[in-house]
Amino acid sequence: MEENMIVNVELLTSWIKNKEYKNIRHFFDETNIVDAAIVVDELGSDDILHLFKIVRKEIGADLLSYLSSDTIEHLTNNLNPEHIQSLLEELYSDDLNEILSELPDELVTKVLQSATPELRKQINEFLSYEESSCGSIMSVDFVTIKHSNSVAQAMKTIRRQGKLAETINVCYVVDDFKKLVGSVSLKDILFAKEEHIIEEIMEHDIHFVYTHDDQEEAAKIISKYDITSIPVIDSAKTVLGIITVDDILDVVEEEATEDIHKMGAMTPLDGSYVESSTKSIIMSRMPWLLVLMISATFTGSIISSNQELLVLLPSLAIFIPMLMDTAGNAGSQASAMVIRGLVVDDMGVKDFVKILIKETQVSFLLGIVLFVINTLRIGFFMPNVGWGIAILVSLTIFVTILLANLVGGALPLLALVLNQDPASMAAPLITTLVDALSLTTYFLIASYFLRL
Amino acid sequence: MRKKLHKKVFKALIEGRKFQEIRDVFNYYNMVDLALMVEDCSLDQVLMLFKILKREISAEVFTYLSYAKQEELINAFTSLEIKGMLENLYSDDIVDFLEDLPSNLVKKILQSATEDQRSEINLLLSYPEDSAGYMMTTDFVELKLNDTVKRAITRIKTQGKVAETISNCYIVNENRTLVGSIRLREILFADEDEMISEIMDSDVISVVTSDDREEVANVFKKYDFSVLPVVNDEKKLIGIITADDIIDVLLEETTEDIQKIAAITPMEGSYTETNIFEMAKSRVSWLIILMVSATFTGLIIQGYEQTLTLIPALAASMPMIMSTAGNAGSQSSIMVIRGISVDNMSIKHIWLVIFKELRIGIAIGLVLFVINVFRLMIFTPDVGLSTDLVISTTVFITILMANITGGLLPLIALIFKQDPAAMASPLITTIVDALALIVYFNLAMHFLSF
Repeated sequence: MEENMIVNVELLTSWIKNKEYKNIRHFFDETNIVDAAIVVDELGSDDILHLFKIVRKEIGADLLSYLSSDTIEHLTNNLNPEHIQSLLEELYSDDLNEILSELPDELVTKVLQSATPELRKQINEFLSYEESSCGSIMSVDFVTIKHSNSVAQAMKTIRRQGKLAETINVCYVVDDFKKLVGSVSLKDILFAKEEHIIEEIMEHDIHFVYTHDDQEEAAKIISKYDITSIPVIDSAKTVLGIITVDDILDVVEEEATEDIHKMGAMTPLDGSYVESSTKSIIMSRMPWLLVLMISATFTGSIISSNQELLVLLPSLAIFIPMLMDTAGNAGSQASAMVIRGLVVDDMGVKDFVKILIKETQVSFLLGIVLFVINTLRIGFFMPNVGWGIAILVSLTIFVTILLANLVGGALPLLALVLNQDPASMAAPLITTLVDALSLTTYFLIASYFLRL
Repeated sequence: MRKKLHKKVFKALIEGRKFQEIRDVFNYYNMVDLALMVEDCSLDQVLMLFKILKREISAEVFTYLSYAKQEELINAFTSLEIKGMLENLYSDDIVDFLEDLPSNLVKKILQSATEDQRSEINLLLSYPEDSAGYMMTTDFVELKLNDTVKRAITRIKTQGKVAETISNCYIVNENRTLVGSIRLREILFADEDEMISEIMDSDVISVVTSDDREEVANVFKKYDFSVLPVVNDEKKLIGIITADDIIDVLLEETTEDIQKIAAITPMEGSYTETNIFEMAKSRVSWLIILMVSATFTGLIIQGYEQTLTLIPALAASMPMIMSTAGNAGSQSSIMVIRGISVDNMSIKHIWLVIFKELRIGIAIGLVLFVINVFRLMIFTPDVGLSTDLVISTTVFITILMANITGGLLPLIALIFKQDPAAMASPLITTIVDALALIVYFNLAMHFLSF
């Protein structure tokens, strides 16, 4: 293979067909496995089986971690059990777990059959953790060191266990009962004198998560403390696994998508838009649309019960959409800011009063600006409406913004108190609420004006 | 493990000037937590603290303090103290707090920096704020192509003390061009006299100083890296970026997207720290734009005022139609916006989006049609069936239009090189509101009692 040659799927196919093994080996040695997997993913179904028979099993296992789930299904269906077993043994446990979670049940059973008893036990444990818990994303390939070891002994342990471990940059220190007592970085071990005892150079105040904790918890701690891995322990404080920072990047992104979907009135959708079936997208959107459609009945009934007012002053109807939109927009602005603050900035129920005060102040500023602009707009550009109604409408906007901001700021906290996800309290739900509030205000102010 | 340190205990130690115990506490507990407590101390107390602590410890505490506190401290430091501090900081951390300082303080700091550091800082500050060059650190371990493993370990031991991470080391040739990477463990597990060039990974993936931080984040995600080398245009190695910085990038980008989706001009800083004027400023412009554009919707209603007086029942369903339109539109736009930023969707998916939204719209529209007919029959029995059907048909058509508009607008934003997120809910709501009402009144005029 020439230097810097671009290997595409046609080239790789022809190498497989012509048994040009040297080129194939060279390709996998020189190309990053993620990029190689993209090419392999496009191979024909027979070629890919052939390829797996000729590459080294380390490479086969590496490839598995990055191939699409369809390709993996095809491989597990068609490779013989011994081959599958040898591939599985090469995988890091968290990659293995990720692959298994995407396979259909009958294939998982097939994989379990071809696994060694040890591996089967490990897989079984993983399958028992709840989805998106720390246990389900952790890797069990890590290094533990005894607190009473010397630096030289620790170095030996690292050399022995480290070949299999996903990271050895941080090792976890345990006492005689295998309880977690600290952590030590490879850097510190490397710079310490050989006869030092690990307990003297380790960090004592370390952070950890439990297997049943939500993965978001691990993400929060890793980003707050700028660490590269976090140990996962059980209730007896035994270290069962580690989560590394590269896995957290995926968690952060998944959680963000989940929040954004919830804020857009959707049940979070697993998988991408392009790959998801129409049916699963419909199921994620339908429920909230229905709920919100029916709850808008309430808003409608406010209009019906004020029909006389609308007949008396027909121009009132013109401003209904504008009032409802502005209320909804203001409410979703406030809720978006508070929801994000809860996720990113450690805000909590303790900030309730602070939020209400701030939203009130912001509302006054916004309300005054919108009041002035709206009055001038109606007064000058809609002369047939008249200044009286212009002021009436603007006054409603002022009150509406205040109400919308308070509701938008408070509801996410209410969700927290009720143990619900604040993100699901966002825009659409708030819109329905503040729509009703704004129309009620509108008609109240209008009837008051009329009586004058 | 010891018990957690309580704020009150910490305060007592500081006020009681228990120097030995304070040093002990700082050797034991986590810096991020300690920094939060230092934040609450008075200026004099912090200065006292920084005098009695080891320099590398006070430097680390300093990086975790708030910008306001950092500024206060720099003001109070002597140039000797600043110098000691700078010597113990990573270059990316220095730049991180420099960007928020007023220029007279930046000057004060640069004056106390060593020649080397000054040029390092100036180099980092010269890159655009959201670029790889700006966020990288220049403290890393660099190995030479003709090093043996033994020589490499010596290099790591000398350079490693100041490096931000030694888990990955990078190999350069005689022109300082990046030619390979190697993990520390591979060096440790190798024979002492093996050549680095034989065991290194020569397919090394790097980013360029001018790359946008979002691109950098994408590379990290794609390859599951924890460290990434940064090169300049001539492929010379000049820095590294670590994955923990990328988490912050992802969080910030998501916040920006969410703010845009919620019609907020993106605002830096947290909710509790931002003052009300900043906050009002970030919200007011979209509120005004959308308020004024909603006039358009109002005018549509005005145009059909006669229809409304003839069939008053129509007015009662306006809010429902408008909010359903808005909700459906924001659902599809959010899915596409997220697809663009996470799954590399682009304009080439335009037909896929149209067909998918069409199918989804028909399915959802049918269900909502049926349920809405029943809803109207139950809640407003006095309104005739033909009106119920007109309202429900409007819902059906509205959902179709809203889904397609919502799916297409973010893609169109891409063509015009605008941020797709800015096309989200509020803007779409205004457009589909108008569309929905026009359909509504036309159907009503056509089918009801004229």
